[in-house]
Amino acid sequence: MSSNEPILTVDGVSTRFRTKRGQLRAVEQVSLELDAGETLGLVGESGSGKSVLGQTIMGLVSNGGATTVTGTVNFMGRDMQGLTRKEQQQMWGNDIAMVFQDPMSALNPFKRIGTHITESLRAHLGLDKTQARERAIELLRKVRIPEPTRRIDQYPHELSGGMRQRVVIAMALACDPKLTIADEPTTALDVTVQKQILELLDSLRTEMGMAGILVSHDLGVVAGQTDRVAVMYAGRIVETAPTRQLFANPRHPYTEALLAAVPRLEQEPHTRLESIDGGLPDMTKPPTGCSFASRCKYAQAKCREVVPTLTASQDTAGARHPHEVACHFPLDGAADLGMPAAVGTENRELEVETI
Amino acid sequence: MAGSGVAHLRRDEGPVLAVENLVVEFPAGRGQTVHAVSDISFDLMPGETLGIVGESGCGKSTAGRAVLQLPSPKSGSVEIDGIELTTLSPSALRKIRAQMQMIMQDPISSLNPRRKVKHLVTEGPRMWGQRNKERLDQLGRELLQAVGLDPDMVWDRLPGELSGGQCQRVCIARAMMLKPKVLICDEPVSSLDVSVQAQILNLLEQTKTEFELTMIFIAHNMAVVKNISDRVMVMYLGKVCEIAPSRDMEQQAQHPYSQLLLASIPDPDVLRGEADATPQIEGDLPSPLNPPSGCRFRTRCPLATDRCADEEPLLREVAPEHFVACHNV
Repeated sequence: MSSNEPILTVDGVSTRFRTKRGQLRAVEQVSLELDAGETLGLVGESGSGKSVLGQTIMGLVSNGGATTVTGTVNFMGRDMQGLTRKEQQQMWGNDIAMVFQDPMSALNPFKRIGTHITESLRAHLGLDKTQARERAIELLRKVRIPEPTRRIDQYPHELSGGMRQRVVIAMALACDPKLTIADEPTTALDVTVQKQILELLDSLRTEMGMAGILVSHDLGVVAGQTDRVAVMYAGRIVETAPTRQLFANPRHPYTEALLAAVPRLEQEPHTRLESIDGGLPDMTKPPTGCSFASRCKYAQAKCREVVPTLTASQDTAGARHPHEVACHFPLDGAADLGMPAAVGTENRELEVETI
Repeated sequence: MAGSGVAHLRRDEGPVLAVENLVVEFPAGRGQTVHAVSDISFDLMPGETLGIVGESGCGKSTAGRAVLQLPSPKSGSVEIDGIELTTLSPSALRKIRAQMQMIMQDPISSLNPRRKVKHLVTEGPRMWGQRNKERLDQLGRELLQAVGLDPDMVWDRLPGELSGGQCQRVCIARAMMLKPKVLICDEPVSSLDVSVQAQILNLLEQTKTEFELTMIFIAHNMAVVKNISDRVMVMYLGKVCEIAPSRDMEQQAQHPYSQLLLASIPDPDVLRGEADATPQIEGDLPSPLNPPSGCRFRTRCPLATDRCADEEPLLREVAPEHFVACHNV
């Protein structure tokens, strides 16, 4: 594969689930590309479809039964949705691996730490028992677990949350995959441990030249770890740009609102936070027009009628990774995000949340 | 850190809540003891919000619950409006607990999934003998409105039909029904999305002003705590490291552990590869079964010296209202 060919191409992917209330559009018309060694952040609220997209890319969610997947996911020249079960098994853990959110439920409580890691080593790389064990110890050392020779024979419950997540990372990295998808890898962890794990993941990705997708609801986590970011809302990518550009110059009102909602240390105590009122629309009955329109403070009549498409901004059009935004009236100019203006704090009545 | 001491208490100024030398321990079998909270003291003035921050296992939730006598502390005193709670009879304690309400971390599991919002919200006063249904319903509706829910919309719903943020609003309305003096929020926003988190933080702030509450706000994210609190108390392994006015936290935090917590917050303004060279503190929390001698933070502290192993630092004032328990700052 030539170096400027992306290793992952997602083209017009939609994932829908049949539910009692009708068809739920979890992912709608998502297209993205990822180069070798590049890290992409997927950000959005819970329910925005970011995890389902990750799973669709993996092939963990595939067409059939109550699920409909349309569009193509091309990973290293292969269509991930068209693989047979056997081909998937060869692919998973070997070329593409996943780090899950909750390390306790990602590990089998009845199996030793070593067994978790050697399993894929023996299956994919054909190592024998002793070789696999040696390699597993090496991997545990790599994810900076102290005393790997002792830890390898322990059970998951004997390890702290941070250690378990390190084991899950070691499992994912066992066969040197080309792409890792980390689905909220630090949400279950403490802030101090979160920082350690994020730095570990980042240094390992750089060291091994892996591409990565980091799914998170925390903009702070994504800012420090990724090259590019895609912001998802109600199943669609609403804005995508190189990380620096996105944070310096958010163009979608949703991105701006998300950034303004994060409490910052620089703010004075008791600063009123800019919140996004309301909630995600019901994705079994998606609204016509822009799905963010009902919560958007800039919404106009057109927004409720026509679905905006992702369009590159003028100054970045034609670039390898342009700044794209799906909004009829994108914002321009750097918003002052550190200090969201206190709009009418005095007599502001509480909006009644509609269900 | 790992400090004790009462230098920061304001006994003469008439605190609403005063906690002194609080010790909470749990038996752990085989003769071992979990030292969850070891000798901490704090107080709250009327209308003040105290933020408690620390990693999981630092005893912040235990400290919050010990105020409510859930369970009663092993030793130490908890006074609310001058009434000592640790020695009260169970029936007297039950009465006074109505003045202290708690908001829990997981809003969905802290509501009974089989009861409707109307029952959940009015449960408190009903338990205290309020039988006037009209009065109850009216109060319930008013409070739901006050927390930003449409009473007609949610009145007959079950918690499962509401989102996490909406459930947290119901919990807040429920807590307000008894007109409490003290509200203890135990990680009320940790399980919520950023946008909902902002809504709930704003709501708590507003509720506090409206109902003239005194509040304890427990969380692990320093930025969240700073936003809502007047004072911040940093805890580590059952001890207090630092107490400071929250506006001083960003620039003037002195304890090495406070600085670690500050550096750990993922900041959207810090991009990849630009992370500042803050001292990396590796490792996990030591076991509370057998905490380190002297300063409990010394095993992970970049400034640790021999003195830290022998002598426990006491909280001392380093600036007005700013107290630190460390030998080396």
